[in-house]
Amino acid sequence: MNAVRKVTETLDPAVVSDNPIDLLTYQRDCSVSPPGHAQAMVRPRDKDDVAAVLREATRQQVPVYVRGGGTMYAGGVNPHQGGLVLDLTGMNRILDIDLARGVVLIEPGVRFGALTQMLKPHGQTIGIIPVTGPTATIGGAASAHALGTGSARFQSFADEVVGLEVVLPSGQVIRTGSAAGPKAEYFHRFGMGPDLTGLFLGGDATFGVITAIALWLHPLPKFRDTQCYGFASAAAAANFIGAVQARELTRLVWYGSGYEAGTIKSRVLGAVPDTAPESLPQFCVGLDFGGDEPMVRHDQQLIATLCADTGGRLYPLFNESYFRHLRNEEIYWYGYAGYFSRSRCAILMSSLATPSMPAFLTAVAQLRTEYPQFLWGAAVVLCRRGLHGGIMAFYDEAREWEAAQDATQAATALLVKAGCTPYKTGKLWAEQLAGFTQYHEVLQSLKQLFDPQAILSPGNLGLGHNANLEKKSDVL
Amino acid sequence: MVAKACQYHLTVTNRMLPLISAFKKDLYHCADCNYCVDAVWAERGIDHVCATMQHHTPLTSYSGRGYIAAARAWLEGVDLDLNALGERVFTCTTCGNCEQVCPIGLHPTAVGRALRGELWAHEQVPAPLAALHQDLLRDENPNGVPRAQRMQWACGLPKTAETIESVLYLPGCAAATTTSTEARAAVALFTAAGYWVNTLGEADSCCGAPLHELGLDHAAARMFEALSGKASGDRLVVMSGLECACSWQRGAATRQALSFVAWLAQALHAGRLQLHTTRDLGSSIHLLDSCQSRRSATNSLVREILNGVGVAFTSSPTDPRYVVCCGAAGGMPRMQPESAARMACARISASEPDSLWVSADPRCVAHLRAAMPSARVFGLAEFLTTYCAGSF
Ligand SMILES: Cc1cc2nc3c(=O)[nH]c(=O)nc-3n(C[C@H](O)[C@H](O)[C@H](O)COP(=O)(O)OP(=O)(O)OC[C@H]3O[C@@H](n4cnc5c(N)ncnc54)[C@H](O)[C@@H]3O)c2cc1C
Ligand code: SF4
Ligand code: SF4
Repeated sequence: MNAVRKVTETLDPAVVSDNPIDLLTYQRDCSVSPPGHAQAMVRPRDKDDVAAVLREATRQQVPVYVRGGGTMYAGGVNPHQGGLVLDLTGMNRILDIDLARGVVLIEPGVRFGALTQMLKPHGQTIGIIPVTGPTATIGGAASAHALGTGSARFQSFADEVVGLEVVLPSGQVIRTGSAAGPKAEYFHRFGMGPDLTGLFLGGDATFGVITAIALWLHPLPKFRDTQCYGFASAAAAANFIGAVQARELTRLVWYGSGYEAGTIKSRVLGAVPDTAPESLPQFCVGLDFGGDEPMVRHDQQLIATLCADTGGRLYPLFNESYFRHLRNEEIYWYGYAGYFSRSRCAILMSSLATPSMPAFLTAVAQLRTEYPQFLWGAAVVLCRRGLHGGIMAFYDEAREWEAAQDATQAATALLVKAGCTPYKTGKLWAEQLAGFTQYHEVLQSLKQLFDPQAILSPGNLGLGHNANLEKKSDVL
Repeated sequence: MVAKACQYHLTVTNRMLPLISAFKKDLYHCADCNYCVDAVWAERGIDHVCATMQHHTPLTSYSGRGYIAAARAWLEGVDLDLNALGERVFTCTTCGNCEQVCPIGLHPTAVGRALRGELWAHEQVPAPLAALHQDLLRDENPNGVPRAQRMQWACGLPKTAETIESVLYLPGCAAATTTSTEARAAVALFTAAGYWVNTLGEADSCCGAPLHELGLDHAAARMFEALSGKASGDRLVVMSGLECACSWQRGAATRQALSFVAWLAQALHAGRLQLHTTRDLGSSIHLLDSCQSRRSATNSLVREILNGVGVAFTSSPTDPRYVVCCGAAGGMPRMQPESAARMACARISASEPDSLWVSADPRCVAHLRAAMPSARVFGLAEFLTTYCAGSF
């Protein structure tokens, strides 16, 4: 019997498939990263299934890749070294909504759309929701550091996590944060020494498999409104964003994003063709406010003043022609709008300090010059502090897939040089991360400690690439 | 067996797969976003996507994305287990919800149908559907009812008066062979509106919609031509089957042919029929939209009709564009009858237990009734003639 079969033989056959047709959809995520070829997939029903798989996979040295919604753009779910894929979408129960503690406890396969739908009647929501909300899972988001709606107000998905239940490669199950205590529940993340929760957030399934997640609840804002601000340069816009962040005026901003001249031109002229091109700003910042109306209006006034102080102006035209619609209804569809121009998109996400925004945009300009065959897009997403800088290269899958991989790798190097750091690492940033020598050495030591056989997601974060495993899965 | 998995060799091997080759753009455009696999988006009324994945198997190879991945792999030269592929693509209900939610407008349902067509060409069709094909050729309906019994639905109906305006009524296989009460109620409403109702009598036959769902486009077109040839002249053709209405749209878009729903809406609008609720219905009314008409105006017209006659009703999902199949359509009822029944029960259970369920699609009515005999499921015409008073 081969090693993969040994891992799956004790499981209920209903949760396992090794049919090659079933495995076709487990080859990759939305990314440009090369697909991988697993020998089987398991769709666990609970943490015991997960523990059984990991325990035996460690014994048999079979690679295990973990998959939620499969919507990430960094190749984290792609089974490069073969083995098994754990599809966690079957673990999709909402375990507890505790309004008194302000915590919701869910299994990792719950999709954002299902969770927000469930919370709405309680007047509650969660902090961070990505553009892929209808289909992305909470487990994937925790493991991939989701961002988007909520970033400006709450910073990062990891900040919203109260605690986790995690199955380690040994099969051991741990609970982190306050729930680590024998009788305690999830109500506080920190306290008992270092923050173990953080090890698994953004971990791309390299140290353990998350089987339950506790998140903070927040009241749904009663009133929402969007505003846009135009600037003559990206530097001026960066000063504005920095000033807003320093005064903590993102406290009622649920989403904030920055747009380049090209986007402004196409959107505004598309909606109002007789707009004088010279009147268009070079950079626009859109903010989506939510809260009690008087408080929102109060903050909007303060922000308008900061905008004027930093040389900008309120720019309702961009709001009306684009940003307001995007934030109202279109957001979950809009993420795929660029796919109409080419067939696929290589997305790369980094984080940067707000003053580095011009350097980030210079790197994007360089990519446009060096790889003119692709359609490049760029946007920054505001966090409570700092920014996320996203780069998109739209390419033609049938002709340009390999070239797009090269361009994306070049982009990672360029962004690191510009002072950005990897965000949503997966396999896409692995090479750069491995270059952060001391940091990566510590990650490697931790990997050795948690996953000595390097079975979990080999290749992610540049960790655990095990040539022996590769050989082993070749002959399976 | 070890998968010789799709290598993403980007040069197509030019296999002789003309039907899926026609979808090359879709195959290379799929973002793997998984919206067609499962999605929940309350604001848009999207409450899960694929009935097959929800009620039959969660394996993504049964989803729209699964069909796209399989078609691409096959085209790229991967040796697929065609038996397993057949099991997957012929189970699909062809409801089209995966196409509806695809954020970049791809056609996974159509790719699934193209795969079916290729599998016919490779003689790799699951036995239950090969049998369905035989039934269709023999009986000219998918329900196993002998051809000679097709017109039994009209037994005892009084001949309608000859008036200047006439309709040629084609109830469709479902209303004719399984939901005769709906066909008879439709006749009552035609008559009330002053139409002389004609049928094709013994010559009435299937429009080919089930063959289309099986991926046999040419055979479906031939069957349609045979029927439409019989329906000659410039008479207004009205059909109860919503899948039949799709056949007429495909086959004779210029012909004056209407679904019964569209005809009814016009008749009410023109004042030829007056209907209003008479009885306190005593139950809440739950409208079951049809997945077959998600892209036509039919589902909205049913709402207009019910609103117009003063019936308060609920529906789920709220947006009929994203309706999930009840299990009546495509290969599902023959391939996986138990899953098909589960789908029906799920649609019914999504509303209050003692509701009265109304569907404008006779095929759904028959399937829902069979799956949950205790549920009070009505066809639209049947509901109106039972619970409304008016000029009939
Ligand atoms: C067009 C487009 C737009 C996007 N927009 C956004 C956006 O606005 N914001 C954003 O944050 N992201 C965005 N993404 C990326 C992605 O959708 C999100 O990061 C999403 O949260 C990933 O969730 P998932 O369930 O799909 O994860 P997957 O892709 O399944 O997995 C992501 C990573 O998490 C690991 N993982 C999954 N489940 C677990 C688990 N239970 N335990 C441990 N590890 C696990 C996987 O191994 C993988 O490394 C976008 C992607 C696309 C294609
Ligand atoms: S057509 Fe309907 S049943 Fe078939 S794959 Fe698409 S959503 Fe599922
Ligand atoms: S929804 Fe469309 S793009 Fe997304 S996986 Fe399905 S077919 Fe592909």
